[in-house]
Amino acid sequence: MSSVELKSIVKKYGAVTAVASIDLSVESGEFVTLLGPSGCGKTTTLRMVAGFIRPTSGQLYVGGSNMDGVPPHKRKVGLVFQNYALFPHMSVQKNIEFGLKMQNTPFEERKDKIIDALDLVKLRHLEHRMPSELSGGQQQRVALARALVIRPDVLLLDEPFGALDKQLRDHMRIELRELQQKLKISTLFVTHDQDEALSMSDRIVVMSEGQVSQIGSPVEIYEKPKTRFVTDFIGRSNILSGKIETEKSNKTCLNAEGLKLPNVSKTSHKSESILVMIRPECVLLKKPNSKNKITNYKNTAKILSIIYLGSIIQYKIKVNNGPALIVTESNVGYSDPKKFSLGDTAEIIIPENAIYLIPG
Amino acid sequence: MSSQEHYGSRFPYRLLVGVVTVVIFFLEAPLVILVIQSFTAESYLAFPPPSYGVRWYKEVLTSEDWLNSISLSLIIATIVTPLSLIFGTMAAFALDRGPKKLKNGLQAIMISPMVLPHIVLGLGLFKMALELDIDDSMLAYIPAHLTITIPFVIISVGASLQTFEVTLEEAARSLGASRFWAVWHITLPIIRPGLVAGAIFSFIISFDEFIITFFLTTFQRTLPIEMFSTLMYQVRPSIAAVSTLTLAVTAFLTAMLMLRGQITSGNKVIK
Amino acid sequence: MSLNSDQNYGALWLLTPTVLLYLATFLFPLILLGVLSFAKFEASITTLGFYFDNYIKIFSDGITLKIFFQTVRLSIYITFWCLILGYPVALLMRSCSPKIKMILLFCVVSPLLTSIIVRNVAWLLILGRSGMINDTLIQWELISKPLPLMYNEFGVILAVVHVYLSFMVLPLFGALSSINSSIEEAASSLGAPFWRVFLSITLPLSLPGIMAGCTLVFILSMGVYLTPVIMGGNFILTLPMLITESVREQYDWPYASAMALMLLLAIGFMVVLSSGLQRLVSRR
Repeated sequence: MSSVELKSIVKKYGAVTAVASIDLSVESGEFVTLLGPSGCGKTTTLRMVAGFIRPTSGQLYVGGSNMDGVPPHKRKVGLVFQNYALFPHMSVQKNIEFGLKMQNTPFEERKDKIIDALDLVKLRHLEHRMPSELSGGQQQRVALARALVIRPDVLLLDEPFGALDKQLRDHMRIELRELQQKLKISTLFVTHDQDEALSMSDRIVVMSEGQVSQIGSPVEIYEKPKTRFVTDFIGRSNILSGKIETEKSNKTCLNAEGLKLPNVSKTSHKSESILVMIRPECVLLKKPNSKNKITNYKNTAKILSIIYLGSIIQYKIKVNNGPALIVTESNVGYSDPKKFSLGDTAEIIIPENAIYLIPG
Repeated sequence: MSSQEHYGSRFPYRLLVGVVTVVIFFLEAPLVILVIQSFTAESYLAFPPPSYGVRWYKEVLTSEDWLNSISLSLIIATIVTPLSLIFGTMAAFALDRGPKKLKNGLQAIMISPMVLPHIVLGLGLFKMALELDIDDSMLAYIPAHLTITIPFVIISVGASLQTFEVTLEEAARSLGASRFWAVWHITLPIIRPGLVAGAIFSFIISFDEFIITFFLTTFQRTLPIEMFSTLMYQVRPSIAAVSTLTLAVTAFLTAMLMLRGQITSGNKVIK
Repeated sequence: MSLNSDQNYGALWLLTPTVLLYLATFLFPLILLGVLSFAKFEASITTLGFYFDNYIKIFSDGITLKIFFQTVRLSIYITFWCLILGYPVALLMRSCSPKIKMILLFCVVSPLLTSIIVRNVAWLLILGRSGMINDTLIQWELISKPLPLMYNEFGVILAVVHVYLSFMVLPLFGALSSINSSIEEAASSLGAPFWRVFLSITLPLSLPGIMAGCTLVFILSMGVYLTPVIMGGNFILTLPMLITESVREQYDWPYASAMALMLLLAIGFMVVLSSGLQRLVSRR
C-alpha cells in the first residue's frame, strides 16, 4: 500500500498554475525527494499533502484514505519545517508532548513515548531546555522527534537543513537517513539541494515550473537525465548540441559543435539535432605525448583556466576547432596538481559511456 | 552610536541635548509639581507647600463623592477591558489572516474611530442613547468606550501578529491540534505582549475618557467628570491628590507596557 | 508569497462583533447627526425634514464662522509648536544610546496614557492667578499684579501642546529612524557642513513623518474640548465648545449636528490634503 498517493493533483492560484497535474506515490518505507529550484511547486505539493493548501483538482490519499476535505490535524502526517517551528514558549519535553496531548494519549504512555523519542534523536539530557537554549542541530532533532512521536503515516520534511551550516547539514543528512531506514517510515522530502537529494533518496522527483520533469532513482536521475532541465539542474555538465554525420569510412559519428565523438545512439538519422551531455568528471586529460590509444576520436584541447578546489581540480578547456568544456579531475594525492599549466595543450579522451544523449 | 558620528564633529550635539532637556522639562515638570503640591498639609495649594502631609489623600479616600466616581470609573474600565480585548483580538486575527488585498482598506475602517473627533462621536452617541432611553447607564457607556478602545487593541495585537511565525500554528495543526486549539495553545501565548499592551491601552483609555461620557451622563459621575466639575467650582488640594492617584496608576501601567517592550505598538498607534 | 494567497475569506467572520458594534455606535450615530443637521429647530421644537437653515446659519450668523476659524487658527499654532518642540526630541531619540532612548521614549509615551484632565490640573496649578509662577513672582516682588498666564490663547495653546506633543514625536521618530544614516555620513564625508546635511538630507527625508505628525495633531486639536474649557475659561471659544453648549444648554440638536458635520468635513479635507501631499512627496 502506498503511504501517499497523488493522482493528477493540480493547484492554481487564479490564472497562475503552481502545480500542474502531479502523479506520485510514496511507497511504504520509501524515501522520496521533491527536488527543484525555488518556485517549482515542490513546497506547494508538500503543503497539499499536509493539508494546508487545498488542491484545485485531483485526488490525494494518505495512508490509503482519501484526504479530500480532511483538515491538517486529522491527517496523520509528521511535518518538519525549515525553521523548525519549535514552540518557543515550551520546553523540549513539552514540544514533543504537544502532539500526544492532542491525541489524548494517557499520561503514563506519554511519558514513555517522549523518552523513546528523545532517545531516538539522542537528546535525552536536554529534555528541560527551552528551544532558544538549543543549537541549530539540536533544534532540528527536537523538531524531528516531535514529528515522529505521533507515529505519522508519512513524514514530511520541508527543506529541513536549510538553516544549518554545511558541516552540520552533511552530518544531519546521514543521521536522518539512518533514522528513516531504522523506523521504515515513509518520507516525503523537499529540497533544492541536489547533494541532499542524491545522497538520501530512494527516488527523486525533479520538478520544474509546477511540472514533474523526471522521476527516478538517484542513479537514473544523475546518469540518465531525461530533459535538458534535469541535466542542467543535477550536477555540472557540458551540454553541447550535436549532429549525426557520416564519415568517409561510411561509419556514422557524432559531431558536437566540432567535437568528434563516436555515435552512441542506436539510430543513424542524419542531420537530426540532438543534445549531448558530457559529465566533467568523465573526461580524461592526458599529456599529449602519452601513447594511450583508447579511441579513434582523438581530440586535443588548450587549458584555459585551472581552479583548485581541494578534492578536485577543475579545468576549463577549449577543444581545437570545437567547444569549450569543463573538466574535473579528482585530486589523488600522488598526482601533481600542476600537471597542466595555463595555455598547455592536452589530449582529451572521452569514453563512450561518458557520452549521453538527451532525448527530446 | 552618537550623533557626532552621523554628522561629523561639527554637529552641535550639545545644543540638541540642551533643547531636548528643556522640552522634557516642559513635559514632565508640571506633573512633578502637581505631585508635590498634592502632599500639602495646608488648606490651599502653594508651591512649595509650607508643610507636608497626606491630609488630602485621606479626604479623597473618605469622601463619598470621590469614592463613588472612582469606583464607577473602575467598574466601567474593568468591564470594557476584556470585551475590548476579545473584540479587538478577533478583528486583528481577521485582518491578519483574511485576504491580503482587503487588509489595508478593512484596517482603515476598523481603526477609524481613532481619528474621528470624540466630540462628534459623543454627540451622536448621546442622541442615540436619548432615543433609546439608555443614557446615564452602563448600556450607553460600555459600547461607547468599546468603540474608542478597540482600535488600540487591533493595532497592538495586529503588530504582534505580524511578527508571529505562522508556521508555528501549522506545526501545531500537523500535530493534531484543531485550528482553535492551535491558536489557543500556541498563538495566543506567543503574542501575549501584544494582548497585554492592548489591555493596558483599553483600561487607561476607558478610565480617562471624558468627553463622550460627559455627554452620556446626567446624574452619574465617572472620575474624570467628577474632577472636571470640582475644577469648575473651585481648585482645591483634593483635586491634586486625586490627580496624583490617577497618575500613579497610569504611570505604573505605562511602565509595565514599556518594560514588556511594546513601544513598537505604541509607535504604530500613531501611524 | 503565492503560498499565502490561498488565505480564506472565512477569517473575516471574526470581524462580526466589532462590525456590529461599529454599526450601532459609530455609523448609526453619524447618520443620525447627518439627518438632524437638515432638521429645523424653532421655539425649542425640532422638525425633521430637508432644510438648510442650520448650514445657512453657520455661514451667515457671523459668530459660528468666526469661532470655526479661531479653532483652525489655534490648531495651526498648536501643530506648529508641537513640530518645533517635537523635532529635536525625535532627532535626539534617533541618535542617542539605547538607555537614553528608553528614558526619552517613556517621557514621550507616558503623556499618551495620562489623563488630559490631570495634565490640565497641573498647568492650572502653575499658570493660575494664584498659581506657582504668579505666587513666586509676587513673593519676590518682581510684579505687583498676577500676570495673565491663562484664560487666554497662550494658556490654551501651551496646555494643548503639552497634551499632543507625543502624537508629533512618535511619527517623526518613525520617519527619522527609517533614514539610513550612511546617507548622511556619505554627505558629510563629501564635505557638507552639518546644517547642509540636515537641510538637504535629513529634513527632506523625514517629510512623510512631519506630514503624518502635523495631520494627526491638527485633527486632534480641531476636536479638543476639555483643555480650552479649563485653560481658557469662557474667554477662548472653540467649535467643540460651541457644539457642546448648543446641545447641553439650548437643546438645539440640528444646529449642533450641522456644526459637528462641518468639523468632520474640515478634518476630512485635511486628511485628503495630507494623503495627497504624501503621495506627491513619495513619488519624488
